[in-house]
Parts: sequence; C-alpha cells; structure tokens
Amino acid sequence: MGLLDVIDLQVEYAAPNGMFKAVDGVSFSIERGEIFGLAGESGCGKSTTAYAISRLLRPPARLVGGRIVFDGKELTKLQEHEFQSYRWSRISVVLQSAMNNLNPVMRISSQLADVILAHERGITARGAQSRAEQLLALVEIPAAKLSSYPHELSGGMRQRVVIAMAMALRPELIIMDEPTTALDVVTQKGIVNRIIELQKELGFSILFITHDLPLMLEICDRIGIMYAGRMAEVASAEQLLYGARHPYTQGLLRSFPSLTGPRVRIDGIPGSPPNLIMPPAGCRFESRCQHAADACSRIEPSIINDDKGMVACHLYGFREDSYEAVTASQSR
Amino acid sequence: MKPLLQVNHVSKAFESGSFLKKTRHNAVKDVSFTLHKGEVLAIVGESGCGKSTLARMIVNLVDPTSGEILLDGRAISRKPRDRKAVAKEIQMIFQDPFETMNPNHRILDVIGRPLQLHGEREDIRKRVLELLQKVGLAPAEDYIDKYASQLSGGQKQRVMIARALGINPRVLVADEPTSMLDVSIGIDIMNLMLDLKNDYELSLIWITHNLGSARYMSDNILIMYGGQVVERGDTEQIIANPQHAYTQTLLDASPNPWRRREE
Repeated sequence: MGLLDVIDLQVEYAAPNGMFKAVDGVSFSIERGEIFGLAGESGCGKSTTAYAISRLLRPPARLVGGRIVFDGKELTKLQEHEFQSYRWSRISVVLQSAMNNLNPVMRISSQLADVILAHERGITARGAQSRAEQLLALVEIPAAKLSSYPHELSGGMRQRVVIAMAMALRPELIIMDEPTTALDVVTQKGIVNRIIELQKELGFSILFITHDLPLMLEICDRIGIMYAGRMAEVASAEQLLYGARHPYTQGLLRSFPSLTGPRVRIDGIPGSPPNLIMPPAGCRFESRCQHAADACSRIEPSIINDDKGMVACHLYGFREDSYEAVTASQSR
Repeated sequence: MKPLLQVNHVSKAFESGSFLKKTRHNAVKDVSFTLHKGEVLAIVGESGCGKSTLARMIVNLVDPTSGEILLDGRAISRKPRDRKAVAKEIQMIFQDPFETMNPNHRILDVIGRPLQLHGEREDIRKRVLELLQKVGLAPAEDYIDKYASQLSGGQKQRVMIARALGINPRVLVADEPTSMLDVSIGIDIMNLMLDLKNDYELSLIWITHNLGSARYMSDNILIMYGGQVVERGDTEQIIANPQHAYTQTLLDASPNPWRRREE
C-alpha cells in the first residue's frame, strides 16, 4: 500500500443545466518519496481530484463516492476538526495563483512564522521566526529579502515563498497544482530544480499537476493521464515516453512542438471532450480517437492493469462479458 | 525583394515617479529588423524583455521614443488619419482571449464592427459567416448569433483571428495567442495561422516565450533580453547552434523529457 491511495473517486458538480461528475471513478496511488504527475486538458478533473484529496472542495462540488486512504487512514470518514491535524502538517498544497494570495501587508518571514505558530504546539514566537528564516533559505530567498513585503518580490520569488510555506511543517505529501505555470521558463527551471533537490533531501511525496507534459515527463516518476473525468492511463515516465498506450496519451504527446527532430506538421487531437452532463455510453475518447471501433461507442473500456501500468482502452483487451456482448450484437 | 515592414533603431522608454524624482525604464533599446511578404518572424524572450512593447509599437498602439517603423517604405505615425491606414494593414491578436472581447457582444458584432469602421458596405452578416468558416468555426450559422461569453477559449481565439483577418491586413502580429490554451487546442490555432498565412500570403510576427512554438511557426527568429536583440537569424540554425549565452539559457530551461533519460 502506498502513502496515498485514491480508490474510485467520484466528485459531482451542480451546474445550471444539470449535475455532472467532474471526477468519475478515478483510482491511483502515490508511494512514499515519489513524484506522481497528473496531466490532462482543462476540465478533465485533475484539479478537482487535488481539491478532493486536500478537502478544499466547496459547493457546488461535492464528494459523492470513493475512498482516499492516506497512510492507512480513510480521510473521507474524518470530521473537519479531525482533518485539521493533517492540513499543512501531513498534506499541504501549492496552488497556481498562490503567489498572489500572500498577505500584502505582512512581511514574508512573519507569514511563515504564523503558519508554524498556528500548527505547532509549544513553539515560541522567536523559535518560529528562526524556523521561517531557515525555510526561506531552503528555497533560496536571499537573507536580505526575509523581511520584504510580497509586492517587493518578483512572481518567481513569491512562488518560492509559497513553496517554503507548504514545506514548513515537514508534510509527507505536497500537492502542487500548476506551481510554475504562470512563470517564465528560466524561472520555472530554477524553481523546479530546487523542488526536486529538496524532495530528494527531505523525502516527501509530490502530487504534481500540470498540462505541461514535457515538464512532467522530465521530473515525475509516474504519471496519470486523465480525460473527461476518468483515468485513461497510468505509467512510469519512461513507459509513457517510449510507449504510451492510450490513444489520448499518444495524441497529447504529439501536440507539443519539439525543439529537435524533423519539422513536420503536428495534427494534435481533433474534436473536443464530451459534455459530462450526458457522458457517452462507451469510451469517452471515442469521438476523437483514430482507432475507434464499433464497440468503443457502446461499451466502456475495461481497466487493464499489468506490468506496464494501467490503461483503459479496448485496444489492449476486452472484458470477456463485454466482448461477447459486442459479437452477439454484431451477429444479430 | 523590398521588405514589407522595416523597424529601424526603435527604442521605447517609460517614465515613472514624480517630476522631482523621475525614473526612466528603457523597455526597448535600439531594435531593428525587417519583415518580408509571407515571412514568419518569431520574437522570443521572457516577461519584461520588451517583446510586447515592441509589438505594440508595430501595431501603432505605442509611440516609439526614437527610431521609426516603415510600412512599404513609408514611416507610420500616430496621426489620427494615419492610424486607420496602418490598422488596415497591420492587425494584432492578443494573448488573452478571455479579456479581449466584450462578453455581452454577439460574435456578429465582434467581427462585424471593424468591418463597418473600415467602410465595408456590403452585407456584413455574409462576410462574418465567411470569416467564421475560414477560421474553422463551422457551421458558421451556429456561432454568429452567440454571445462571446458562450465560447470556449480556443473558439474565442479563432474569433479574434477572424476579426483581425476581416479587413484583409498584410501583417498579423500575434502576442502569445496560445499560451492560455490547452496544448491540443494551441496546436490547432498554430496550424490555422500557418494555413491562413499561406492562403492570404500574410506576413506574421509570432511573439512567444516558448522556443518550441517559435520553431514550429517561424522562418526567422529574434531573441530579446533586457529590451535588446541578443541574437537573430534562421530559426533552425539558432535553435540547433545558439551563439549567445542567453539563447543557450533559454534552450536549457525549456522542458525536455529526453534530458532526464540521458543522464
């Protein structure tokens, strides 16, 4: 069993024109010390999954099913005050726009000390302050900037402060939702490198969410690819790079203009994701898939788990019962 | 061949602070380049390198502090009479499709308004339908009466392209038009712009911080840093064999899944 096991997660949203499941039966697990990536297009449910794990779902979103097991403990069964002992100290979160959510009228070192004081018993204000300064040094904020206000720092610096804050109580899992998307490539590189160094040093696990698949392939150990609320494929970064199996993963990998190799036209993935208020009966990717067969529109793909990882696609095996159903309907 | 657009030693300084203590910020310093008919030029750099200010000077939204920009050999100016003439030839597509359209306007008005302003007298609705078809929003009748707020990001960006194309410009300046979009939608937009460039023999200035998209789109490239051009030339050559240290830094920072596997 891993550090985090997400089993058959289901999150429902109430929209003006009906209910829909933004996350519909998603399962994956994260080992201790692992960097696990979650990728997919806008609206595929990757951020909703992160919110569900960190209990940040707010109406109109609602957790309607599945289990979230963290270090052997079922999180979904905990009361709000019980979960409080997990927040920051065992599971923390870095959001995309977090750098804009720092308190503008409070010095950055004091904001960090605040987090430490609120969650750690028996620590003095002075102790918290010095811990805060150590943390900021860890993310390479120069000593001269410790008592700066957020507006005096660049976006990259502010994002470093937020990452330091997420690490303040030595959590076992840090959820990072697009932590560097708003930053320039050079700044992004610096921050990502530092995150990986710290991860190796301190041994926490990371759930890394982004739509930047090349970045994800470079830094993650294993990656889950989500499509329309479902998990399409889970595999190691190597496996995805050299032999992605799901046609959607293959399409995503093709959609990035490369810096090397021949300059050829890329076709991307034609079409758009299905409406989740009335999801299709069969495979959700069927309408955009170049391998789509007759059965795909009617029968949900079975989930295949093998030594290469997980894939949900009819190309890699049919469930016996569903195969019989297809052949029976075809012979009729 | 005579260049369509010439940018000669253009600089832009912004002043801030009070009149007693003025600070000058040189956003663009002495930039020169030419753009030929049918050429795609990528301008690559990070936030604050001056690439967007340069774009705004080219489309005549910002006055250069010094230097001049020539279209067909004639200097462009911000005199009201000239501005309209320049707008007819050079159009811009902005980064954020969510903020460049009034959400309460119908697509017919979003695309039709510039046509009216530039003296289009024929049936505007028919022209807008043609343009929607051209940018891949088909069937066009399904889109023309929608409100801007009803479209997705990718569809909005297509509308912005249709709006820019409507008055048959010769130069399109695109300021990171795909950076807010999903990758598979971004690549569709890039393909659309390359197709339109070929169909209409447009010249294209492609502004980006992403070297991958610059390579996909452009014939030539300018690398900017701190308001200056630090390297320029044939796109393929520069990416394969960068000369300036900053270009190398940009290349090293670009995510590359193969790098880790090689270690």
